[in-house]
Amino acid sequence: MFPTELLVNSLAAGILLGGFYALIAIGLSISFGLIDVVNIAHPTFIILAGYIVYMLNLITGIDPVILGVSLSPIFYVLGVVVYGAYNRAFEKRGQEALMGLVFFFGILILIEVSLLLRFGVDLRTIYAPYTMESISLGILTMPLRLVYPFIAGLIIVLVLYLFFSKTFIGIATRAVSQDDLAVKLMGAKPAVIKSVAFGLSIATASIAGGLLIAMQPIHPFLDREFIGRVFAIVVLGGMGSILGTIAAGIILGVVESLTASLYGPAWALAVSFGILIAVLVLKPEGLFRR
Amino acid sequence: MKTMRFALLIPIVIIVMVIGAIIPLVVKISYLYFAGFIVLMYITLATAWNILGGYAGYVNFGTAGFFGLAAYLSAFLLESVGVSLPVALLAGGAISAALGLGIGYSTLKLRGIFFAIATLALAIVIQMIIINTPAVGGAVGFYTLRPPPPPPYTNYLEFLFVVMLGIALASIVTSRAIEKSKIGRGLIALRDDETAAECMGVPVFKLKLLAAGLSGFFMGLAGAPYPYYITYMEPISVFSLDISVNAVAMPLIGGLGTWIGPLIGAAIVAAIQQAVTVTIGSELNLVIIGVLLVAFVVAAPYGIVGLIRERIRRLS
Amino acid sequence: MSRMSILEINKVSKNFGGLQALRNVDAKINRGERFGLIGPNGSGKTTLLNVITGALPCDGGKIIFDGKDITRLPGYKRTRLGITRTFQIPKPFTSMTVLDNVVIPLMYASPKETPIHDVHETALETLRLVDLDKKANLKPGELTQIEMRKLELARALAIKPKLLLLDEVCAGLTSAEIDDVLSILRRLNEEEGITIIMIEHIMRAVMTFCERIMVLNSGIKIAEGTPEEITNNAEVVKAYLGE
Repeated sequence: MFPTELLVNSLAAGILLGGFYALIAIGLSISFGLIDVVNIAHPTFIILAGYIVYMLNLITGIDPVILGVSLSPIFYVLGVVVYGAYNRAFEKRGQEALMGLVFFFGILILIEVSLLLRFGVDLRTIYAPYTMESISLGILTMPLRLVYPFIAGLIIVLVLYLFFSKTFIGIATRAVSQDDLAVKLMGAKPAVIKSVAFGLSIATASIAGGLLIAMQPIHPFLDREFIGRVFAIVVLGGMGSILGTIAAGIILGVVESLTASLYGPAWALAVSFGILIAVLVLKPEGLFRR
Repeated sequence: MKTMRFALLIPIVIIVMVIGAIIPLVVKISYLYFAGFIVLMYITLATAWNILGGYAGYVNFGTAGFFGLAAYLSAFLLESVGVSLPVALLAGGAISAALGLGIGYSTLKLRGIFFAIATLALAIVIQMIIINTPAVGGAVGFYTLRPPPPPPYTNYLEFLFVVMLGIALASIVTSRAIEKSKIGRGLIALRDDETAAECMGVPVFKLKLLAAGLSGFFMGLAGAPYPYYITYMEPISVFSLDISVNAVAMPLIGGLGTWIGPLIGAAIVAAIQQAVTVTIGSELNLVIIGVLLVAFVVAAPYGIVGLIRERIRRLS
Repeated sequence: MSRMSILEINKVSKNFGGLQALRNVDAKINRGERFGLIGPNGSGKTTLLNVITGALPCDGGKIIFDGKDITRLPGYKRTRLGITRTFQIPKPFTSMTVLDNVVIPLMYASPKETPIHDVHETALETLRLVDLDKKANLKPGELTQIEMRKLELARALAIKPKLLLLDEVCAGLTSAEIDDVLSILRRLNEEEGITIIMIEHIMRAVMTFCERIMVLNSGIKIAEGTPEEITNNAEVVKAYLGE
């Protein structure tokens, strides 16, 4: 009923897409899943990075992925600054749930609208040499523009996994998310640790942005398409579970890809929201424990 | 003493309604009603938002979805089915109330952020559905033809202004009634601490659902007259970002959790947006509102009402 | 099913994704009793409290209050039946005054006999009980730690509950303050007949106040008896000292 070649390629595309989705979601897995900061503007930071990479690429011609990685220290600092404001204004007053959310919504709007004013609604793309090519393995045809982000995504996520399981700061971050007091007794300051973690999450946004514009055109409201996806992945993967994010990203990628092949691309978005609602209703703890 | 204050409100509301109903017959500046309708619409939206956002503490980022759904249903009923305006109003209110209850039932048992994301997602999904529904014009647009205005009004816009005034007043009275009532206290208790509230006998989930339904209802009421106001509807402007952002910014800037905050916030923000549109240009509107939103949420989270109360407290 | 028991906990279990917080816990608390619940950190005491009040659903077993099976009853309905609690770390309603904090349970969980217009007066009386009436118009943010504890207590007492669950109500208090709180509780127990279940780490308080004590360790009941029996129980000593 369903041609094997189409099925296999759809599956492969889904897996590749999933690796990339994991990279997009990993920042949120850290900020929302691990340190409980309700940064709904995470996809918006990714788009912002995408546009900056786009501009720099126009001027310098440097490869977008390299640009994305190079910008990450700046985005790290941006993350630290934003967290500082968030912490001072809301966490200290215990109002993160309501005000913190509105705060990040405000940032989301500001970034979107500023991008809109500067770049307009038209799509922006970059033509890197590899974005047009594919690898073929038998009946399998994998576009490089999907393979590249998949590999980069996996590498970054694995690096982060090692960071959070082997380094002191990484372990301290996971500890902070479970028990503030224990961390204080250890001599570390929870706010500093969270600041580092949040900075890292925004740094990943920079890399994700560079990869994003390498693989697809962007527009100022693209972030909204990703909000459902990233939250679905973070919740499905178990809040703060890095490996869970990879698995959940791939699951979402595959389901979306198959749905798009069967029913058309418009339904792909509905899939992520559908999965999100299903997970929230059935099992809010996610598939993987921390 | 509290009941006396409410008793004071009713005559004021009646007087305002009567004056508002008479003014269009006397003052013939059409811009007044053109802009006035929008201000009243936003007052209703801000007040409606505040019922769930300010009292219960659950933020809705997709007000445009509630507004737009009611507007399109109303447009369809008025044009293609041929119902009267009151029926369209009720239908609009009902469908958005149902939407509020629906999202509420699935997400209000979870943390606030999931409700917020669901509203964001819903606004996108509803817009997608409308764009793909030829019966309401799809992406191309939908025309409505204003019927003759009921006497004594000679201009339909003036009549719509009076209708919206009534709706705005109804939302304010409802909000005020809730705030000082047992329900209002229960909502504020659950906003402050859900676990403690439940342990003190407050039926937390039921109250949240009630707030979500009421909030949706008034958002729908704000949207239902819109087709006759704008006469040409296209999804991109009906589901405009302005609506979702203003619905959050106005109560926040005015003062969350009070019935008068959204009123003040709506008046001020609408005035600023008008001023900006005629001077610098309407594209900057969202940027300015965005900046104000972030500034207020960081520096003055209780809004203008909060600042005034703080000033009064310091003086006494 | 004795008429004397106000609360029966039958084989109650609670599981948190792999962590067995409570395992087949049985207990019968008598009407008007002063009952203590002790155990090392993490033994499941607060979890048991949460299961009794309905803040958490249990995974197995039954809870019977006043002859009624309340296992599936939502939390707020249990409060209306007369079960109230205090929290280890006070959870006041921060945007309302101290008085309004106490008004909430009176409005929502009063037995039918208390008419609404008495609510403010009753709230004030309750505050008088814990010596907070002078601070009735302040916000919880302006209270001291001890006063916040008292507010917790006032909120739980406002509706004259049948069963009062206290979660470490003595923590951080001075000796004199502990005596103060215990005497208020004893009076309520003796004069109003309120049954009290007390989770406590301060042994002096538990041993002098409670008539019977149950000891939990890692979710299992390891002992139950009078304060004397518990003090002399080798299992209990071992649980507290560790291996």
